[in-house]
Amino acid sequence: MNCRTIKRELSAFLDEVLEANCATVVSEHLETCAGCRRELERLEALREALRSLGPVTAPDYLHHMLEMRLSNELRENWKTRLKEAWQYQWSRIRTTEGIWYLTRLAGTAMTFILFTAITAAMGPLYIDLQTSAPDRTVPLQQFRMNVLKNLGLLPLDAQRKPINPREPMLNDEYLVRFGQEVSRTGAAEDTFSVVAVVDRSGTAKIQNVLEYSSDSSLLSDFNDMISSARFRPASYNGRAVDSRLVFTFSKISVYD
Amino acid sequence: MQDEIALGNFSNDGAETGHAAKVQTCSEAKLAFEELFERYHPMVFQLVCRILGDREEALDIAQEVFLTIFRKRDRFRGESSLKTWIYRISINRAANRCRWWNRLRRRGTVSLDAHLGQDRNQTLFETLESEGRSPEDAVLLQERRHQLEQSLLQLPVQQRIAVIMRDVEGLSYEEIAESMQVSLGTIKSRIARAREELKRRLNGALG
Repeated sequence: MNCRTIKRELSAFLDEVLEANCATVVSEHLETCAGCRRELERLEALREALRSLGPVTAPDYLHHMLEMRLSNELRENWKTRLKEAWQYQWSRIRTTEGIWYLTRLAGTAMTFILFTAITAAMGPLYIDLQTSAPDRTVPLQQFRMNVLKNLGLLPLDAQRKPINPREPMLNDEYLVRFGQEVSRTGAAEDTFSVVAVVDRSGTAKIQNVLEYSSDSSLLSDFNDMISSARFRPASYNGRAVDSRLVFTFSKISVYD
Repeated sequence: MQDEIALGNFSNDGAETGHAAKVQTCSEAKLAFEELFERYHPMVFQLVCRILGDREEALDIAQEVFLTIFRKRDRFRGESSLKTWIYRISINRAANRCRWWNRLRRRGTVSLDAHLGQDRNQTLFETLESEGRSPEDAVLLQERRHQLEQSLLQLPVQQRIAVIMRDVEGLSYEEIAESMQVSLGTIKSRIARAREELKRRLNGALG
């Protein structure tokens, strides 16, 4: 070993932590090398100087300062732990299945209640699927009549459309007007006669033509007139019955 | 001397093996902690003061060390001795503070002169009284100490810690290696380099 290598090992040699064979080699070298011996002495002096630095005493108030910090820490720790415990419990509650289902059920129930309340406030509506789409809503009375009619439970009287006094009825006034029209437009001796059936609801339609007019438009006009209008039906013992009428138009005379 | 300290989850059983002991109440833990503080705070303060070279910083770090001991008392498993465990905490805290100060110095915000290694507790009179030296010797001795302390502060942190623990605190190589959590070879190397550097800086001042 050369001096450079020996000098590297001197520190460990001084502290007696070298391996035995290595320590032997260093020791043998030191016996013959004054330079390395001087280095070892300097190391010893340094070590002694460090050892003699003396103790460093802590101030008396160190304990007091530590106590204060410890008290603060324990107080904060208590609050922190309480907060963490609460957060932990809440996270457990939130994730339990029971609470999950309960919240969902509560939401569903509230939705149902709100829907029912809103629907009741708006009033009942019935949808008649038989009628065309734009106007399917019908009043309740009409809906009931339709249902009973479809089921065949509607009484005969109720199946007739009730006579609305405000609706125009085929009466003498209409016939007179029509006759005047015939007189004005037709030939003086022109006459046409028809047989019409008036049912119990007052609806009339031509059954037979007894005498044609030279003006074919008169028959068409007459047909349009009685189709769109309604007769006051004939009655027998207070009940409406079907009847047959003969209409003869000849200048200003009208027979019924 | 038998150690008879029980603290939190560990107790001292003759050879400082650190066996676990159950603490029943908070007051018992506090009492054990008080005892631990009484026993180890001189060692902690001295080590940290030598590493940092500043009493005020050492005061702060010493508190941090004991607070850490209190917080982590449950984590001490007894794999090492209690003393070594405390040393480890002290070294880590001191080294972190050194790194922080180095960063500030590099930024030029802190004066190097703020770190003085003088032991302010010991006046010149006390030196004369305790060591029986002449005034000139006492001044010379103080000057050497100051120079040595300054040189110590110039060392890299890890080398400084190793040489302080060996030559000032008197720990064995194995204890130092365990405290610093490095191998024995690394400790040998650090101590050797630290001594070499100190020798170079002091340059014959030791006589």
